[in-house]
This record gives sequence, C-alpha cells and structure tokens, in this order.
Amino acid sequence: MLSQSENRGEHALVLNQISKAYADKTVLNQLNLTVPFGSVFAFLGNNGEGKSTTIRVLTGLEAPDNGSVSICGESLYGRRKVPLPGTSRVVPDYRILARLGGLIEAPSLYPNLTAEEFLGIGCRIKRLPKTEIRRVLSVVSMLDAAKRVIAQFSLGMKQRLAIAHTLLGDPEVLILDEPTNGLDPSGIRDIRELLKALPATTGTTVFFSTHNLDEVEKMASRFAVLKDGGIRFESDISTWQSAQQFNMSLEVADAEAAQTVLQQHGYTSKTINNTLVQVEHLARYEQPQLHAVLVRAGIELFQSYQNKRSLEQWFTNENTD
Amino acid sequence: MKILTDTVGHTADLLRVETLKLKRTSTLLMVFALPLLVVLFCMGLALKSQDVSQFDAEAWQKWWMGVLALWSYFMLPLFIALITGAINGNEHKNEGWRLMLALPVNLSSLYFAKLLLGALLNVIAMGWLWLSGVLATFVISAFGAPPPPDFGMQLLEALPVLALTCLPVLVIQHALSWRFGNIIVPLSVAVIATMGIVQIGSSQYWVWYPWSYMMTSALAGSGEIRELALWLSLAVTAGLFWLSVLTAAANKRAG
Repeated sequence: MLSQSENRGEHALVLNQISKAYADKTVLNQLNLTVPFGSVFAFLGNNGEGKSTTIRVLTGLEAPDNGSVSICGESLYGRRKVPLPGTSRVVPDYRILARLGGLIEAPSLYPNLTAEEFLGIGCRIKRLPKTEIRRVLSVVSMLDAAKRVIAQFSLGMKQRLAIAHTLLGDPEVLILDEPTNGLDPSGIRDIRELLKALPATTGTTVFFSTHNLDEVEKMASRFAVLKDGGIRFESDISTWQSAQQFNMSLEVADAEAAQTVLQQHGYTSKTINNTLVQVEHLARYEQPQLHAVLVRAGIELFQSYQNKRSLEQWFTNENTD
Repeated sequence: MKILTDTVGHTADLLRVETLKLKRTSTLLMVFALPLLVVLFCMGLALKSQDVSQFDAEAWQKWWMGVLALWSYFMLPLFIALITGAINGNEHKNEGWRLMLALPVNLSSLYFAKLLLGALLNVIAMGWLWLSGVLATFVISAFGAPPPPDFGMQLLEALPVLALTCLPVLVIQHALSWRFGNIIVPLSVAVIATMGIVQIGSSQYWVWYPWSYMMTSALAGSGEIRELALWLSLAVTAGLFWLSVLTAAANKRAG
C-alpha cells in the first residue's frame, strides 16, 4: 500500500475522454484535460458550456457517461455491480475525495451553527484534530468570527468560511466553482492572494472555474477554455501573455520623424498627432528593440505605453467567432 | 473486521455530525413539545370531563391508555414525518448535500446515520411522553384524584415495542424526506396515511398497512396479534431499508 505522497501520479487531475449528456443534449464531448501539480488552474467558458458539469464530475457528484477521471493518480470512478442481474453502475470511490477540497457553486453552510462548529463537521469526517479549525480560520483571517453564528455573516465571510472548510487537512487539490462570486473588491483580493499562495505554502493544486477573466490573469498560472463540450484553448498564462500582440503608443518630440524611422525598420505604425505615434501588432519581445531603434535614430522618446488586449477581450473575440 | 470497524466508526462520526447540525434549531423543541401536547390534551380532558376524585385504578389505567392511543395512532406518525423532514430538510434548505458529498462520506452511511438519529429522537420523545405523563398524574392528583397505583407501567412497557413497530414508517418518511426537497410531500403522505390508521388498522387488511403496526402493537387485545405486528414491522423495515438504501444515491451522488 503506497502512502498518499508516494501515490500521487504525474498530474493532480486528469480527465480522459469524458462525455456527459443530459436527455438529448451533449454537455461534455470527449473532454481531455490535464492539471499539473502545483498549478493554479483557471477553467473558463460561457454559461452552459459545461464548467459546472465538469466540476460535478470531478467531485463525484455526476458520473461521466464515458471516460475516466484520475485524482492524484487514483481513478475516481469504478464500476459496481448492483443487485439486478447483469447490471452495474459507475460509482465514485468516496475515499479519494479525502484528497480533495471542493466548493461547488454557492457556499453550502448551516446558518444555525457557529463558524467553529461548522468547520467541526469537516474535521470529524476527515478525522482531523480540532487545532485544524483554528488553523484554517486563521488562513482566511476569520479567527475573530470563530464563535459567531453563520446567519450573521456577510456574503464575503460566508465565502471565506466555505473556502476555509475546503482547506481542512491541507488537501492535495482544491476544486472551486467561481470562488470569488459575489465578493466585494477587497474580498476578491483576499481570496486571490490566498489561492495564489497555496501552491507555494502547502503544495496544494488549485483548480477553479470563473467568469472573472481579470482574476484569471492575476491569479492563475495556467488556464483552459471550454467550448462545445471540449477544450478549445489551453495555455500557461505567461506563455499566452508573451504571445499576445498589442498596440503601443509612443509620445515623441517629432511624430513624423519617428514614423519614418519605424517604417524603415518594418513596423506598422501611424501618427495620431504631432507628438503621438501608434505602433500596431507588436509582440512583447519586440518592445525593447523598438525603443532601441528610436533612440539610435536620435528620436526624443518621452513616454511609451501598451494598449494591451486583456484576456477578457481575447476571450470575447474567441467566443464570438 | 477492519472494514466493519471503519464503517461503524464512520457512521458514528456522521451521527455526531448530524446531531450537531440540529443545534439551535426547533427540532429539539418538537421532540419535547409534541409528546407534552398529547399529555396536556389527555390531562385537560380528564380534568374537564371527569370527576377526578372518583379516579380508581381502572380510571388511571384508562387515562394512561388514552395517552398511549393518542400518541400511537395520531401524534407519532406526524412526529416521525416532522423529525425526518427536519433532519433531511437541513440539507435541502442549505444545499448541504453539496457540502456533504464533496467530503469523503459514504452515502449509505450518511443515509443510515440520519435514519438512526430519527430513531434516537423518537426514543427520547417516547421517554419524555412517559415522564410528562407521570408529571401530569401529580397535577391530576393535586386536583383531588387519588394517587395512581403505578406510574404508567403499562405505557412504559408498550413504548419499546412501539419504538420498533414505528420503524417501517420511519424508513418510509426518511426515504421521502431524503428524496424530496419540499417537506409538503412527506408531510402530506404522513397526514393522509394517519387518517387511514384507525379504519385500516381495525380491519383485516392492517398487515398491508405499515402505519397501523404502531396502533396494533400498542392497543390490540390479543397478545398474538401484538406479537405479529412486531415481527411484521421488523421484516417490513428490513425490506424497506434495503430498497431505500439502493435508491438513496439517486439525485445525490453519481451512481
């Protein structure tokens, strides 16, 4: 019998050829997805593309029609015979869920309990010491609210408490469905910083779905876009950012002279006014070279700034094709 | 052996968790209020419509029988529906299913733990029914009734059997409350079924009607019939429990 750390497999999560249909609607169509250990993985997609279904499949709430799910190297679903002749059904091995922390859709809390009592539920089921309650409350900065009844909490506090519950026992993988939903800006920042730091502090892999694309750029190390039941695009955030072309505005003493120099060096540019030039379709790596060209040609360059295309703009364009 | 101890330990943990979830809810109030209501009703009836100074041993026995009858064929089925509704309603109302099923929880153990909690609350309610009955006898005595010959031993002896013969109804109501988010469904079933207890229970078809087992085991004149009700309810409980566990996963966790 291998210990948990020895039996981790190569990836935190692997979805292999997952298909799922409801009545006559195919939601997931041979979906393949691999989530590396230690990543903060964002899962994007428009409403109805199957993000929540994928999360329900990952947490054992929905069995896939076809395909396999592996969590830290262990297969989540197996077949079990049922007491009807010649029949069997796909069922999750609930013990594997001990390696996960899951927050599915809105936080599920019992408003009549205190924060401490609520976390006691997860502690008892996972058989953790009670000291774990104070640890996770401190991670989400809620130690002061330990003895308060949940019914009195704001939406942000409820969300943080639900995340604290998923952190009980330092699970190897966190699966979160829209974790910043309904939070105010400071709440979003707190959750972002918390989740971003988790791989480094506890080694936890974070997999989250979201509609907040700005958050993805700030928080995730990798992302995938779900479309038509399959992965349409997948990339590291840093690779995606460096591959993105953007426009750059240059404030110079003489826009005409700068325009001439830029065209001589093959840049696509246009003058906006006497002191402003816009260079188009520039890649990130071309930026230092552009500055060097202008300086070498004796152009007085006062300021330059990127008109960067955000992930949101990119996502919108990709999904309106 | 290890699997067995693990399963028992897991179920015990879930039972503690389920008990914790009832903290600061009106469920415990129900456990004490409904039996008290039965006793208060019987006490009020005795004080209002009878000359309690004439209470002899037979009258006391009848009074205790009245408490038992009202509890077994009227309040108990409704109490079971309300208790199982509260235990499962906690999850429906607060989306607790998602929380519980994202944890390493065996669904069958969760189902059983909730059922067990319902049975335990039932036993507590019955104990309180007897105790509040004893307290009521002091009140009736204070109004001039001679002291009772015993403290409702007849009721006390009937309650353990009643706790077993109500199990089929407990399983049915638990399965309905587990399945349906709206408490109206299990409650309607309970109300309609309770209305049929006296008529069907006193006919030859009582064996086909699990709601009648409680009344039969408590009030039937023949010892044989009472024993039959007990064994029948145990057999029906086993069958219903097996069936309901098989279907418990539907609409909850995958599978």
